[in-house]
Amino acid sequence: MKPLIVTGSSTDPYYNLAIEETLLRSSEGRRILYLWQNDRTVVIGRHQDAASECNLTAMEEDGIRLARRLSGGGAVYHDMGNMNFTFIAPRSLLSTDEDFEIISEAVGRLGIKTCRTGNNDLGIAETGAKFSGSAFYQSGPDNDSPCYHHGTVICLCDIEKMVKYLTPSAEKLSKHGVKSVRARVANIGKGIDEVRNAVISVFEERFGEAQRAGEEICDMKAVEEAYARLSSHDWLFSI
Amino acid sequence: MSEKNDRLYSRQHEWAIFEDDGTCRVGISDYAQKELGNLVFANLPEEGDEVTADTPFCDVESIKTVSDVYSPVSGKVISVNEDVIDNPTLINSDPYGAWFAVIGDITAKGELLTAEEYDEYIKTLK
Repeated sequence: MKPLIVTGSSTDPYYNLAIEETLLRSSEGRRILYLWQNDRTVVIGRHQDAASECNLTAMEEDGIRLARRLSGGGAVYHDMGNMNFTFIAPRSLLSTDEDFEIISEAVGRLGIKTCRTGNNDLGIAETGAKFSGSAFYQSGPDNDSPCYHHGTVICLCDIEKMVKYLTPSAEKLSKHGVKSVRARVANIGKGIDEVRNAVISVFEERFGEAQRAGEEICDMKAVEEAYARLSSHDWLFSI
Repeated sequence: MSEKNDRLYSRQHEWAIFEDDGTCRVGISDYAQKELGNLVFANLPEEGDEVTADTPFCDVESIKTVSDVYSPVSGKVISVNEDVIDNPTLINSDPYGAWFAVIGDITAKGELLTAEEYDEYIKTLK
């Protein structure tokens, strides 16, 4: 079966995470690349405490949404200057090293040399500043369990806002939960469209010509179910 | 034989010990903890939760990934291991001691393998 590339058109984080989860659960061994954007959202890891990771008061004042993803790791801030990628494949086929190579190659074609910074991050080679962080979710430990590796490509984000929303008030820190690792981040300074096109080109060169689709390829009943769960107060605030 | 003989195993890499009082103690296998790498969080169920055989009932986070953990039986959670919640690295250091939950009121069992069968099974995964 041809690989599938889905380009998102929504900027609603709960809808996008619901699409991502639906693509994963219905992937049936297929290799999928999903490219999407969230408008002004803080996304925390599966096992993080929201109040310990972000400034909920400032977010509420400025109309910033809070979302929680299925994967692990730390809190991130997304706006329309950031592009998210999700690589979906059975566990035996998903190689995070290969995914990082695809992103590096794509960004490299736009004239930016990259480096690995830490296990799950990519940085700009010249400065070492991180422009891409990523996380993983596996639906089971078997070779054929569908998994995803998703992450950010920080292109033209408002870094000042990022720092503002990702700085929690000190008195709210909780002892439980996975703590974010703070890293120096920077924009690559390229437009979303050119980054998206470059990633698609490299992906197809590696895995063959892909079927292209929008979110409507998903079973919308499954999306609605996931949306309700992922946007619920329980999911966002209980740990 | 690398797996312990005193319990049964699921193909999703959980172990299950059926106790004399009719309950079942559940954890994850040595193979599973090695595949996951260093555990940083265990999101265990709560007492009283209903669980279903071969369906995710909790999840764990390692430095590599978040992974669902499947229940080997259907029933009700009667206790959870708070030590594992406070110190998830116990799963790495002592996978066969670091139980996750005890399940009672068992109404169904998933397909479970003996240690020998499980050993054979994991050889096919490499």
